[in-house]
Amino acid sequence: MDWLTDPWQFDFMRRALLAGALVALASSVVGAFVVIKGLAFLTDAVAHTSLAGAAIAFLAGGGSIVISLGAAGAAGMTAVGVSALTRARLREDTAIGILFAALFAFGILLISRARNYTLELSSFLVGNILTVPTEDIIVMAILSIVVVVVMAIFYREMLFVAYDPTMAAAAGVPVALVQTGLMVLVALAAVAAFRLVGVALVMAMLVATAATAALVVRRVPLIMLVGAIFGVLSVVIGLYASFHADVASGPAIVVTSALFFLIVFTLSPRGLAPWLQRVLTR
Amino acid sequence: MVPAIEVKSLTTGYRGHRAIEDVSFSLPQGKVMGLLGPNGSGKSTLIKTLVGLIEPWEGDVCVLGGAPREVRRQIGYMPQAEDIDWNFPVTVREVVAMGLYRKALGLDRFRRGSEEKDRIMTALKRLSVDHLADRQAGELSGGQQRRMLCARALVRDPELFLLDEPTAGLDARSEQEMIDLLGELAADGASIVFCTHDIGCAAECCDLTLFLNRHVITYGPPATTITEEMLNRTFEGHALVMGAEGNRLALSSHDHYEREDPHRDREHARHDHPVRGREGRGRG
Repeated sequence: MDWLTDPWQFDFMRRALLAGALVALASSVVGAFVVIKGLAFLTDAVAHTSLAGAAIAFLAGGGSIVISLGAAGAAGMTAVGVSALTRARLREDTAIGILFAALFAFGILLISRARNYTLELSSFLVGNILTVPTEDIIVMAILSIVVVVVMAIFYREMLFVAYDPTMAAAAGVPVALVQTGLMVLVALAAVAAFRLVGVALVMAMLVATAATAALVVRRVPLIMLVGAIFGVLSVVIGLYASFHADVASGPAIVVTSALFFLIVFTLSPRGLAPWLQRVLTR
Repeated sequence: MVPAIEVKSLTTGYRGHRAIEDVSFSLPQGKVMGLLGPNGSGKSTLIKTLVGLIEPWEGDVCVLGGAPREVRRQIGYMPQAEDIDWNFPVTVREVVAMGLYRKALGLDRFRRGSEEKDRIMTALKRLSVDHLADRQAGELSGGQQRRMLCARALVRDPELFLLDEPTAGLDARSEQEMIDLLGELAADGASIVFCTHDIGCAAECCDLTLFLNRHVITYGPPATTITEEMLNRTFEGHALVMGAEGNRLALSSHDHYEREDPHRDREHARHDHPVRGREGRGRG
């Protein structure tokens, strides 16, 4: 059974596991709302545009904490920007599309100035949790904890506004603030996840685990909890795969979470199961 | 006693579109008022102004002696069932708990005493849907969904109910039950305003009816307001008026029936409902 315990002898694997688990928790907590409200495109945009902020911080010679702050700043600005543009009567997907392309391109443009351009770009795009320094892991952990704590405090408002914004406004909930707040939480979770799986795959962390959970349970807090469990399992299995099969950790984690979704979708009464049953018993 | 509602020369709308003009009326406390008019006549806009969701452009709105926003805790508001995302994973109990929302800071936020649970169950019992407390909201029938929304409106024992189409899409039995409930609430001293397309229902259970088509066409007890002339002026000839044993029953045009299914695509519903304000947009 050495193959089970071997990976955890290494410091970098234990750190990766801890950070991954926290990111999985934060991703699932905001992911529940992302899946229910159909915010996947926004999530993807926020993740990609965080690259611009990270690139500015990176080129300015900032350390990993500064890079994470830069990424969080850009992601947060995208979230607020989409919120503002949508309120100015632009269709939401149009607003996202414009900001997504512009800021992502700007990020790549900046990174293309760097000497080892492709190497840096690929580490941003697909992440590599196994090589990030301790201080980065601390930033990821702090971001994840902030996301979970803020969601716990404002859960009532988040649920109320997501479910029925008209009634929430009538009851005195500051709807625009809560909606923007959710997008900012999405942005923070995306930045936390981006060191783990890279900007290109952040969406999988936020969407796949919560979507899997939504097939199993039908209450928001339970979707968050079950999603976190699927997320942590994906991180553990992905790290094993990365260690033993020598594959990149980020994609391994994402492929695992997608496999979970596929299995649950096939077996769930809300997925393929009724159709399969009909076909097989015919 | 201050009137439940006092509206003077109200003009308002949304996104620059003028939806209602120069609307004035006064509703005494403890009365049931039916708000009638075709689609796009400004019924929902008026209700939303009374709840404080839309600001008056001109004129004054006084609800229970104050501005709508100041008295929101005494108002039980029920939005149209079409505004609700019925696929949202939420239980009946969770929906009704939203009616008890209060601003709380610090640790007070996390206090959810047994009192809250009791109030939720009392509200659900009153509408005979307490056995559905832990069911998914989306699994309920149309009538049950409407009762759940009504339970959310009354869970805080408000003095004034503002109900947007509480009977739309209900079968005859559920509709009668809803009408009976409105009667009970009024008997307990609550004031009620509800919009409806159903003139028969308004004639039966309202103390006062207001016919609206951007302007107030007529306002008063149903016996004096529900006349063929007023119906024609309000519904612009689209009302089907039938005499039945001396009582006049009327059905407002086919557009009522087009809108009956509460499960309809919400985007679509929005198009034939120009009175929907931007607050109604489902996004969180």
